[in-house]
Amino acid sequence: MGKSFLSFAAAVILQALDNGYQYGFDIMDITGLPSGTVYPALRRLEDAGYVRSKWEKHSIAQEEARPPRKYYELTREGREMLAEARSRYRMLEQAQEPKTDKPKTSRA
Amino acid sequence: MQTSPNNSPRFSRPHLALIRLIGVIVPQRLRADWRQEWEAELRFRETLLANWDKLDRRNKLDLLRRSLGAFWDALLLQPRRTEDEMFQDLRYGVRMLMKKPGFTFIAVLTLGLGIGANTAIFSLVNTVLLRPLPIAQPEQVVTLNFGAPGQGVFPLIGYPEYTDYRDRNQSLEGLAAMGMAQVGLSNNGVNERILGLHVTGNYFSLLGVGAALGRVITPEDDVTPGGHPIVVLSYQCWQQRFGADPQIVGRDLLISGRKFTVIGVAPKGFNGTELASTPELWFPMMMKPGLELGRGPIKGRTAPVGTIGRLKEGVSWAQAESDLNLIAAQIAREYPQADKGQIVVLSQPGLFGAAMRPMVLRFTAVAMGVVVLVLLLACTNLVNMLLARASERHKEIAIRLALGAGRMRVLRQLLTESVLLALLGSALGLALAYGAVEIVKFKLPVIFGFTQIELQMDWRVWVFTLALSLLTGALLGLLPALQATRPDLLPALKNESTLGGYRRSRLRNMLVVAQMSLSLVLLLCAGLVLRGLQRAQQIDPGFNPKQAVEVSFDLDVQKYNRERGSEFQRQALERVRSLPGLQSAALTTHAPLTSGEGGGKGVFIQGNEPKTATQAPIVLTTSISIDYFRTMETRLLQGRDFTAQDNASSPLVAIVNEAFARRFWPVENPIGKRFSFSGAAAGNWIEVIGVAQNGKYSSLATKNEPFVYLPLAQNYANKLTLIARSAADQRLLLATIRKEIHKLDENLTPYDARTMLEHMELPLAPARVAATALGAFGALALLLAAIGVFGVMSNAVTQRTREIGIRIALGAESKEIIRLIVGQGALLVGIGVGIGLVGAALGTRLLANLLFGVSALDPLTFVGVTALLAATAFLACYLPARRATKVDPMIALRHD
Repeated sequence: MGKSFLSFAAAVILQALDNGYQYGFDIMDITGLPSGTVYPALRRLEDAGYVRSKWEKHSIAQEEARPPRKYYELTREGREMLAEARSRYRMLEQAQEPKTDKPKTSRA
Repeated sequence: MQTSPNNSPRFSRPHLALIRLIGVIVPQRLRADWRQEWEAELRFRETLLANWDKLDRRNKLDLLRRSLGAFWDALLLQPRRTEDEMFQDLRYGVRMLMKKPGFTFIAVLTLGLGIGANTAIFSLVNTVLLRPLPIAQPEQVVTLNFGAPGQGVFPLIGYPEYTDYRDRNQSLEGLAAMGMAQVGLSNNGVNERILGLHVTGNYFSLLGVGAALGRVITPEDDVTPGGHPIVVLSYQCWQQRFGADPQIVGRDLLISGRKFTVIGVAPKGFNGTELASTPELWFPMMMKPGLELGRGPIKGRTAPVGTIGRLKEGVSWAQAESDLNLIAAQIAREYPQADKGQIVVLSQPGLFGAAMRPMVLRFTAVAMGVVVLVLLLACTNLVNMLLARASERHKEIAIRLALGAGRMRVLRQLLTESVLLALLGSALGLALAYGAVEIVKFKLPVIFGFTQIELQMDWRVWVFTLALSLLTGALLGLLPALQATRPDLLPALKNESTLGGYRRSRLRNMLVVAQMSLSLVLLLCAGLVLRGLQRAQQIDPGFNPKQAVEVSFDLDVQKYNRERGSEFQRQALERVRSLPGLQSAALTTHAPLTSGEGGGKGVFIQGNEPKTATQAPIVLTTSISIDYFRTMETRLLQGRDFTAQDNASSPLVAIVNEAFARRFWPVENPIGKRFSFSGAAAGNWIEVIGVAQNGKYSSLATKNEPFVYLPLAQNYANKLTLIARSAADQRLLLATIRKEIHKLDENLTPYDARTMLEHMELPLAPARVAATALGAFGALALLLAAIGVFGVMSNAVTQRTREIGIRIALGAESKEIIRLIVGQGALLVGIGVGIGLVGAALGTRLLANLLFGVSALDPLTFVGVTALLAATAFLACYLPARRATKVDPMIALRHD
């Protein structure tokens, strides 16, 4: 991935992160992109330094009897990149609403 | 980090099972984190959707779909694992190779030679056998060969039969015909004799070949005999002769004295369907004279054509062949005189139907076999060196193993090193092969009688070389690596030599034996071919090639008719004969030992005629002028020579050679006997007036070929070779003769002007190339084998230092020590030579047609080469043995 150019999928993912969707599956829900696109894109963004990942607190996970989840957040470079991408893909902001509630599920 | 799994078994939740499975390909250091991330997401989603057991199928499927995406994620991470370890291995490998520059240099050089030879030969195989023709669906295209049972087949047929096959068959989408023609192209005041091809109107569309410029020949261009003076140029011709002139289409060219209009240029890379003859011009078939003549399959008939067809979709070779043979049977019934017993055999196009393929196959098989042998030899040597190195590195490896490296990991490290060596070697090899191909390019056409051939180093060659070097690397590395990583650590760590040493040396001994036998086989082949060449020089060709020159010219090219042509020939002979110092001069249609066009005809002996044309035995013929025998210094054994009285209006006469006379009139006197070339019914009886000595006609290897000389005055031909005998300077003579011919017709271009001694070199070219190549490879092999023996014996001396020290201390003399060591080596060499001799005895018969009558088991060669090898091997043993005698017993006994 070039330093100065972002694919549309990557831009959408950055926008989703900015909107507060931090987990891979949440990003899939909001963007509609398949997991086979979202995860490799996240890895590449992380390699490029636009995104960093953290594990959630152990205690939270233990309560729900599952392993801790990994969440992603934008770095400063990522924010700059997103701003640039917004100017290129003008519909980007309108494409998603900021996160308010729990993620939608297919049952909803 | 991982928490205990949920109570429900993993397999009831296929998405989680899938994640574990896919995780296998994720690099180990990332795997735990990766699995956790995916598992956590999936399980979180589960809880979010309440209980798994209550989930409806849609949601289950959704989870499964999401976990499938993990595969792409894992795939992205996959290269990072191998990258890490490979870089480690490579860095280490490069460091190890740089630490021993001498070893690396020799190894790369050896491999480079071996792989280079393979690459060069493979590029030949690729060009003549593997590369598909640049036409649409080349696998559907076939060449038709015609013949009679038991007589061999030839890919030529009369034009009338061609039309029968074309119109009656059910199995071919189309059948096109083509006929070669040498034509004279006049361009900017220069006349050149180049190859043209007459093709039927369906030729280009059948092959699926379009035009790069203008258009190609279509069926409409091939209707009226002689009525379509148009021509398509080959791309190369357009580029080289016309400077890629963009205005070429529509231009008129003077070809063989007639105006032809250029209608187009064929695409780049399309040079017809035959590798052996690459036409520069294509004409409509109807422009070929004499098409309606000559029914029958025999070569040498008037205007025979080659055919090429495209199989219909779904029709197999066998089906097409039986269909065509049905037609052959019909034709045979309709024209029993010419076509009785005709059969059709399909073959791949490219190598003159079925005619040249066997020879090319054999040549390439031998060449490929030789270079593979050389590579094997090079490998054996390197394995030996690597084995020696592996025992030096025994301790290093033992430490690695002891520190917990897996055996596989160490193996991979060692293999990386050897593959690295092999890759370096193949880089050198490719460079060498490119050089070799450049050289061979100019030699090859002579060997195969090709007009032109482009050896192609395309992707197939690259893949072959890469595969070969990887294979070589694995072959090289595996044995030493397996040996080195054998897990008996303790003695190695304690720096003790172990029983392993014996096992190792046994392996090395076997390799030396193998090397000895391989190099013996190669050297024997080289020796035999050299002997064959020597023998060939002594073969009596039936004429005296010394102090004679030849010049050929083709009057067809300038459209001479018989009358003008005869006059031209008479004047040319007259002018040449009047040159100062000239002894004699004559004309012939086929100078002996000229490759290519045969001039073979079916013979009917009066009183003993075969029933059909196809049963008539075929003999070679040539038409000659007066004075031919005197010029060639061929002896007449019986009867008389042709005279000026044997002309077009006198009875037909011939002079036959001894073999002809013996074969057809074993007891009677051949003089006055009569035979015919056109069958008993047609008559045209020719009377034998003389018998000439036997000679070599089609090749030096043949024996007692029947041959017929006809007077040129009764058998006019336009394409002739002038032979002149003179003691004067041969170069000067050639120049003068060319000048004289030029004076007679300045548009005529003489070709093949050379001395008869140069002419004699041509049939020997294949053997000479083979001898050079085999000799070079054989010498290389001998050198490699000698190094191998030397290495093994040095090692043996080192290993037995203590033993030798004790022997010397106990009073053994140098002579005895030398006998001990040399004896050990001699045993290895002896076994190797034995195996090699058996191998050679089986293998050398493949060379039979390069040997010119030397036995494939020629004792002189076998004894001489074996002695050479033994002497070299002895020297290689003797040097370490002498070192052994210098062992100081005091030091030896203290040795570890």
